[in-house]
Amino acid sequence: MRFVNIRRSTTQKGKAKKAFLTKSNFTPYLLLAPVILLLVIFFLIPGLTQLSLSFYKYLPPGVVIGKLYEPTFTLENYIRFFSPTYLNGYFWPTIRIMFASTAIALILSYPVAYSIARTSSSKLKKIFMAIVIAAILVGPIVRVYSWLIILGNEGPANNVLAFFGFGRIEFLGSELGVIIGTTQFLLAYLILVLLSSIQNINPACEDAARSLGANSIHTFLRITLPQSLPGIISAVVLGLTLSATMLETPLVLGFGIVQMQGNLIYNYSLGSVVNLPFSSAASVVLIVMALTISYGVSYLLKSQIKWAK
Amino acid sequence: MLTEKIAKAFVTFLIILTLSLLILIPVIVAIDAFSPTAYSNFPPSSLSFRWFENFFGNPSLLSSFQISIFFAAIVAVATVTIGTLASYVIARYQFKGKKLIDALIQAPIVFPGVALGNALLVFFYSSGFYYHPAMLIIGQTIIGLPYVFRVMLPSFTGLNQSFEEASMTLGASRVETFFRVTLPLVKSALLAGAILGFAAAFNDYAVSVFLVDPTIQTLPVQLMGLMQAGVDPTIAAAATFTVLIMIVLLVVCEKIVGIDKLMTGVKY
Repeated sequence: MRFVNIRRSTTQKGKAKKAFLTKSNFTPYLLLAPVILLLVIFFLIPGLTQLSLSFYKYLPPGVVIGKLYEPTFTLENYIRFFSPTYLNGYFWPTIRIMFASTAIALILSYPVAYSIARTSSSKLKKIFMAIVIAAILVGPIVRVYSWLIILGNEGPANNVLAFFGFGRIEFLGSELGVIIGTTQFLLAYLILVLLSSIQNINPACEDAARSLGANSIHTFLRITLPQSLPGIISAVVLGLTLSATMLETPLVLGFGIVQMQGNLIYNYSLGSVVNLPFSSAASVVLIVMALTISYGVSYLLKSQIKWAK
Repeated sequence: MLTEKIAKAFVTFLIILTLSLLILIPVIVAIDAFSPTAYSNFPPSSLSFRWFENFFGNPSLLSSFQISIFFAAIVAVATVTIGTLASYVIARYQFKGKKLIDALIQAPIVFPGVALGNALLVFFYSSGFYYHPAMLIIGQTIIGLPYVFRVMLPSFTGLNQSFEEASMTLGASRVETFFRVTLPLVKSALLAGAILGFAAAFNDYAVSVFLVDPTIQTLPVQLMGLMQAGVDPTIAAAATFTVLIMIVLLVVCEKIVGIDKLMTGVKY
């Protein structure tokens, strides 16, 4: 009797839940209308406008008064983008900075993520987390200005180098300076991604390896590292995407000498020569780059892991 | 054994280096704000408040500071309102195209900021709008929305539906239930969402720079303009204020709801 009762009550609850979820087919769309409208009008349509503008013909100022472009189909913006001047001035530096800073940031953030995941004191964990989240909340302006001071010719970094008898390095306006700034920007984001992956590894596996005689290096290389590979992949993808789309760092630390994709868009949309079709083409290339990295790199790496297994 | 010790020392060094890179950045700016000389000379030899006086005596910097706070507050309210509605509907209803809408709301977070800024500039230019404060608010709302959405969605899906069912069985309408039962239960997420929405708008440069009017500039845009001209401790004084605001928000969030709520929104 009791058994029957329980069964009845669960089925009733199931029905009630179902009814609660699918009350009307129309209400959800009505309620979501403001969000959908906002994103369609101010996100999707601008994206498509930019895409179509990237195929428009550029009109130099004065050819037709008050017009910056003319709606005739042309590939000249993309051809210009892939010419050696622009490839060497913007595209290749972006690629170099992306890979260098992601690699360094990965090496620097992994130990911190690991120690946050494995610390037993909840207070210490909270302090670590506060530092990481504060680093994200502190805006780009503070970060970039701080690096401007640190890396200056008379700044602390060069003073330390001089103190140890090394020569001064011109960080500002060099790729090294931009890489340092970008790396530091990535740290906090990579720590969070790695942290959630390392937290999923059962510490008992590491204890087992150690009790079987493996030293810490072997335990790390054979147990922890392989298990945190999914987290490392997402960290690499995130690092590459975030660094590809940098604007503030190359704008200030690059001194106009080292420029990235972001600078190219900035220069031709807000600079002295306004060429919206060209900046739109650069923007489309940047979006394609970011999407290719997010899907391509993770797909490649994941298939590699499956193959290795 | 020796290699193990060396490896351990190296790892400890990496941890200290990384943490100090995270902590030192705002600290150095704050120290520079108190430097007595205009030529940034680090570390400063004595304390001075002249750069703070400079900042408060500069009407254009001060007004852009107020504009930044005002706009960020509007964006916080807008993103929390829209984000709550969207995440509630996605958590509570079954309908076609749910995944697509979810992806659409979260898309701006992976979309490059510069590209979004340029897209909005091109869109507004080609549709005849040029320089309107509403453009800035719309742009900042779009970048702030995914963060709020990411905080709100798990708190709605994680909420036990029996509270709402009980309220509705007792005769409350769905709307009444939402305002009197559901919302009070997720108020911690509302606060965390508002903080993230505010911070996203307040700190944004990449999108805002494409949308600001030469006369109505936000603080980050104006400070970046000054910075490209060179080092000036007035920038440090203004930046120190933005750091203070963020620290206050972080402490408020930690005291009321705990820092973990912010993490779900910030994490990619």
